[in-house]
Amino acid sequence: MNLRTAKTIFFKELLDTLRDKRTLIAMLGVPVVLYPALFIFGAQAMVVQQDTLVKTPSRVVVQASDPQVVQWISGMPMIQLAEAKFPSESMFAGEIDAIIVAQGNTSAMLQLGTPAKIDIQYDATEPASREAQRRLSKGLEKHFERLLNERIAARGLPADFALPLKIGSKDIAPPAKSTGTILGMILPMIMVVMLGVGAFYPAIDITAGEKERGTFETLLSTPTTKLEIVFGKFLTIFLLSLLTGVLNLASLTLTFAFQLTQIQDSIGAFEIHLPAATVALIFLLMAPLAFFISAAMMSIAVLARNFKEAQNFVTPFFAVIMFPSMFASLPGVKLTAAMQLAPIANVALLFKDLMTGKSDVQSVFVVLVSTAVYAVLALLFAAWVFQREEVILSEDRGIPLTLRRSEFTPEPAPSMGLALFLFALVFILIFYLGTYVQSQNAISGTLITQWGIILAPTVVILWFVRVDIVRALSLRLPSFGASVATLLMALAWVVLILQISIWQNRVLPMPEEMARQMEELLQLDNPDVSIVLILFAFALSPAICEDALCRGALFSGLRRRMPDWVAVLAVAALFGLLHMVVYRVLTTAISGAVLGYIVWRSRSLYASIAAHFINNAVALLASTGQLPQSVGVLWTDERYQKSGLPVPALLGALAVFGAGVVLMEWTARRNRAA
Amino acid sequence: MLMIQSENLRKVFHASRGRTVEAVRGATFSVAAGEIFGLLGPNGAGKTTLLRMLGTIITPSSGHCWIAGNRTDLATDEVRHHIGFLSGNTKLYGRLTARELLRYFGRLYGMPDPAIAKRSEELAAMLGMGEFMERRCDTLSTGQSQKVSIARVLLHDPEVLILDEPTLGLDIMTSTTILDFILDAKRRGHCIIFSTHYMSEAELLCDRVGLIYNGSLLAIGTKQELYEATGTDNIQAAFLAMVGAEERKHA
Repeated sequence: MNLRTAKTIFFKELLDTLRDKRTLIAMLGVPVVLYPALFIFGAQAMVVQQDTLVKTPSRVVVQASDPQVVQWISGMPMIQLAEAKFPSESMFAGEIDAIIVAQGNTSAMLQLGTPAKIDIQYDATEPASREAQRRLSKGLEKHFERLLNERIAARGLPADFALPLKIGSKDIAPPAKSTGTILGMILPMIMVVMLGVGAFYPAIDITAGEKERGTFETLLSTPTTKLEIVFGKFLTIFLLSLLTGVLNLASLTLTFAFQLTQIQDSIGAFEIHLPAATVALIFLLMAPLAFFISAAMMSIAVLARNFKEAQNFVTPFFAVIMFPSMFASLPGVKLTAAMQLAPIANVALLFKDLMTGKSDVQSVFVVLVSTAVYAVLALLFAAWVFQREEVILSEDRGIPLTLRRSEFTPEPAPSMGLALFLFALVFILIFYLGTYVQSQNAISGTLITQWGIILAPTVVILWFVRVDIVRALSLRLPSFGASVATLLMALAWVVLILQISIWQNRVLPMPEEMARQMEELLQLDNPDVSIVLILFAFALSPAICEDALCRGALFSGLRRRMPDWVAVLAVAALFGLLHMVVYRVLTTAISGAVLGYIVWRSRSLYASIAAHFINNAVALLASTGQLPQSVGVLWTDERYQKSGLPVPALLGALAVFGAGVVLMEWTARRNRAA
Repeated sequence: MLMIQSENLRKVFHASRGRTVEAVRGATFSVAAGEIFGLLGPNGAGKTTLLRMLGTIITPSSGHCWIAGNRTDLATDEVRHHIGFLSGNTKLYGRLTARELLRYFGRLYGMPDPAIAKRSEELAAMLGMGEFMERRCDTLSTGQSQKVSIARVLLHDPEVLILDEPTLGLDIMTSTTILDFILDAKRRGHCIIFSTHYMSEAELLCDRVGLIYNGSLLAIGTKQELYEATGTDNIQAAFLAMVGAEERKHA
């Protein structure tokens, strides 16, 4: 890459973009004019309102038969007695601010020594009414204390007789910390928004905008490399994003500080105290964040054909990156080791820590490095997108926004992209919907998940894009040899996977509480649930539905773009992820690899469905004690859980499994030859 | 001297869902210095794709081409110094003035600033751009823009000019400017390849013509050769005869 060329492009793009009004408004107009105006007027309006509230007397209707109460109330400062026929209606109409209701003869009750009840009725949604309530309870408390003291004195007791405990609470957090907490919660979000706003228009303008204006080809005919173009353009977006961020942050801070001096009296002491080093660190943190946001926005915008389409593409991304910053602003969310690697959220959390003076060098380092890594990845993605001439020169192609079934041509298998999309869709549906219905009822929830969430979308989408479902899902009967091989492998695998899960349990044991909950949910011990229903829900349904998605659609899609065995492994990994419980990912992935192998070699989904069913069914029967004692003991005996299965059983299983594989290979070769 | 050599150039586009479109199906031809080569064909015939491959905007799916002896895929940078590329898609940056635009492109071609300034003045005088050199390109008329584009193409004094439908959508006055510029470039020894679907332009300018239809070069030759091969006496008739024969072959 020639840096001089990149520099030439950078300066030209900067000049070009700065001559665009939209960029200038986002970068300068908002921070320099809008905030100060909004905040200062807002603050002044608040001060004025507070002021009037304090200076206006509260209008109170007293409903009491005892003139004593009326006298108390009228004697309070800033209280004005009022009359109303229907007091509550008058209060809602804003004609009065509060109502005092005293039942019975207060003076008489005081004489008798029974508590006299006095209610303050007010409207908490109205500031004036809240103020009236404050004044009234303060006034009544004075009378309460006076009456109490009179009673104590009358009995000749010491003045603090009725004060067994003096309970005090005091916020001793240094003002810098409280301010820091508040700022630490608001600022990260504002920062992400501002960097995003700063990058938004330039990113669109110098990619999709350039495409729309038809100048890309002019640029491409010059002796520049794509990398120089990407870098020059990226630098422009990055600089403008950072500039917008810095200007906005500076403007906000100044406005905020100015506003504080104005409303200090009404909200109490509130001081900003940030060490200069922290401020420097905050600006330093903005750089990788701006880098990441600019590169990501640029690579998304360049996919669009024109300015408008790019706006439609980048806006959702903008919304997405705001989530982690909002999440980080929640109280209680901490910068843990895992969070240090979460893009956006890590910077927001570190920001929060910096503001409250809690951060350490290690976390600053990790956050900076990981953000830089994401930023470089995003830039690499942008460069990769620019290398693709069909994207760069697409004036009439883009991502299709309308879908009609007739537009699709019949295909024997889904594309890899479609297969992955299908998987992602099912994954999200299971995450939000499946886990919910399963927590309500395991059996019906599993049935809904399997048939409704996994199988139905798979079949409907494949049908819609006109994929040949029979071929894509390998819906053909296995040969006799493959059937026998599948049976051997499946029966042996039942034992082998048990040993694997024992190992897995040693390395990463499932928390007991979780294991217990899962067992309870399955209702295996419930005598009212028949074993047939259990087998249908937890063995047959997953076998059919999960295999249709994974070993069917996903496998046929992935193998179009990669060697078959790689596709088997990739599908197995995704199959593991689909189970969403971290303690089961590994074992299910390994089983998935075996099932994938069976489909690949037998060319029949029915074979892997059968193997999957056998695997689940045996485990279920074993854990409900329905297997013959001689076999079931492998699952139920505590001893094996600790020390592993007996060696002869393992060797036997391995031998049978091996025989199955040999037979499978032999049949597969013979079939291919035929 | 052969400035453009194309050997069996093919370009296949991958449409959605695995379908492919063969836009250019093996083009072999050459153009010499001081020669005007016209590429004729209807819309969608593959003219733009072929010229974009010569202009290094896109890479061929197979086959090779050489510009001034440099293979486009191996010495892309060198090739770009030798070509001036103009098409309906090489528009101007609207927010730059004509002078800024020339300076920008001059720098991209690696020219030092004083050389750019001198060359800009020369071109401004030659094309009559003096009055609008300081105006932003988005305020220029179509004719003025076209002149700036020509200046942009000639800025680094390339030996090979690749012009994709340079007169498309222009009024007579402006297209005359372009045609004059092409003839002038030929006189100064440039090698010019240009595409058009105006048969009259081809008849007027071209030393040799290539007829392209449905991605294939049907015939290459001087006008006279084409007339003789088809038994016609003008390009339009020759073109229609060739296309008709081609369609009968596939029917």
